[in-house]
Amino acid sequence: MPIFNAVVTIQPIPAVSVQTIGEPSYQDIRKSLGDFVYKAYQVYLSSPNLQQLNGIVQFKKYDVNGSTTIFDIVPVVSPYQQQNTLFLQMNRNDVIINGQDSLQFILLANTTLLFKLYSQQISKESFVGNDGKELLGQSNFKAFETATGIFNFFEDFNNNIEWQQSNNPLQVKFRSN
Amino acid sequence: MATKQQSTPSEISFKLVNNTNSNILMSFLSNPSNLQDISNQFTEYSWNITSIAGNLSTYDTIILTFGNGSSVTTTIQQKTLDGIIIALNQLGVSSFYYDIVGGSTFIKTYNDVQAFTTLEILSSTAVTSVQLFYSVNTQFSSTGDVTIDNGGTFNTGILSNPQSVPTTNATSLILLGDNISVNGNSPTIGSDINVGINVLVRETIGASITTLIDNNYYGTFFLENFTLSNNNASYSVAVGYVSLDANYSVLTTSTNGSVSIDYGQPSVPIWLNPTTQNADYTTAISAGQLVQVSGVAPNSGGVLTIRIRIRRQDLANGTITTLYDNTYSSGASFNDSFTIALGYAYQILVTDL
Repeated sequence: MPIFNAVVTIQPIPAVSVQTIGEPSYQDIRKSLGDFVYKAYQVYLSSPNLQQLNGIVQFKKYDVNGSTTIFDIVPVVSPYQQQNTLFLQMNRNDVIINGQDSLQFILLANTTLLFKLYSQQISKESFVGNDGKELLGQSNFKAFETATGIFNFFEDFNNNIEWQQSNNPLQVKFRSN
Repeated sequence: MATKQQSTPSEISFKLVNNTNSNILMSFLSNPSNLQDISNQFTEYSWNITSIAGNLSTYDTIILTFGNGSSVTTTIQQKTLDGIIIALNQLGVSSFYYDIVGGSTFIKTYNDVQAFTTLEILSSTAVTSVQLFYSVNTQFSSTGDVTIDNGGTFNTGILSNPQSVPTTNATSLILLGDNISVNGNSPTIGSDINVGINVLVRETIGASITTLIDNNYYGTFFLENFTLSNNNASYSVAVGYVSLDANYSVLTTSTNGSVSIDYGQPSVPIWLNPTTQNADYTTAISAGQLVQVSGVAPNSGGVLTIRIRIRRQDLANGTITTLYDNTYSSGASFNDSFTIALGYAYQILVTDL
């Protein structure tokens, strides 16, 4: 049975390079996925190789249970178009780039592809208020208390919490300092 | 009142460049734990699979070993180079592609995070599929013998000449790795002048045929060995008589005189000059055959001298010996003769001087 040994070489250039136009870098964007979530609604593709625009793009999603969902995004290039560009509309609402998914497609040999992602970006920052009057985020807690009618909800927020187990193991109570 | 959420429009541009001559599966815009995104990585892993690239139809399993010694197995559904790449990419441990450079075929990937060592491509169903066929044809010899065996389960016994064994399948008697011996005694020169022994062993893998042994023996003990070394290969052993090789060429321009070459054919032609004759008479002769080159030299008109050259080549070592190099003039009769012997090729040249 043929066994082939790997020849390992550090090459001066990568097989595939991905660069962003400006900052942050592609690597930084990858690292920040999850903290930053992008809901894609349109992709602009441009390549000198028109054939590159025709390939099917697979959107692969997986969750913590290991379930994987794959669906195809099929670009349609007009046979009469002159430009090697394409606007690809995301007709689905679940093209959400959060790190636990990927766009898979074949990048043709010796081909350059400009990939411009139009999306709505959501970050942790998006979940706290910023009304311009108070410090960023503080008014959101107040709004929360007003909305729920429970004031001083965060009163013990910074106190140590001890767990006391009663005779009934299902009953626990908090004791604040 | 709901908790306020804000999203902001985002517009990010990426420039993707494939710097290779191969199509590459991109796994794009996922977190760094996705090993299949090989962009901006510099550590190349390359496996040269040229030896099997032309014969992928028999392989259905791939075992990829990581740098830490662990391995993963995947199944090849489509038995082509593309199929191997699809199978490897289904593992999700990198993005693989193939590259054909100068007739060599490589499986490659780039990965700065995950290390790889070996790639094993194997057939899970056909563990051993080596085949062996043999045939013996020594019908024109009355002395000598042949034995073909693997030192164990397969042994033809001593096949004494003359012998005619049609192509026989010995596959059930042999195993991959067996050493096959072809030995015996070639016909005795002098008492059995018809033929020598030729041992021809070939290995066939797919459409590729390789000659492992092709040797002639005359009047001696012979012993040849070879190993059934390649899985999915078919081996053939043919033991037969040695063909002789003989031809002549006659080219004369004189206006009279004649030439005749008699090698035992029922009706021997006499060619009157000028004449041009060429023929291969190999199939018409056998060892021991007397060959006579005779005629009358020209005596008038044009060139008056005719040259007879008869050469033979030792098939064992290639040495050429001139048996005759004679000239005859002015109407002289000539008759140069020789006897066909084993292991030589013969050539007769008749020309103007």
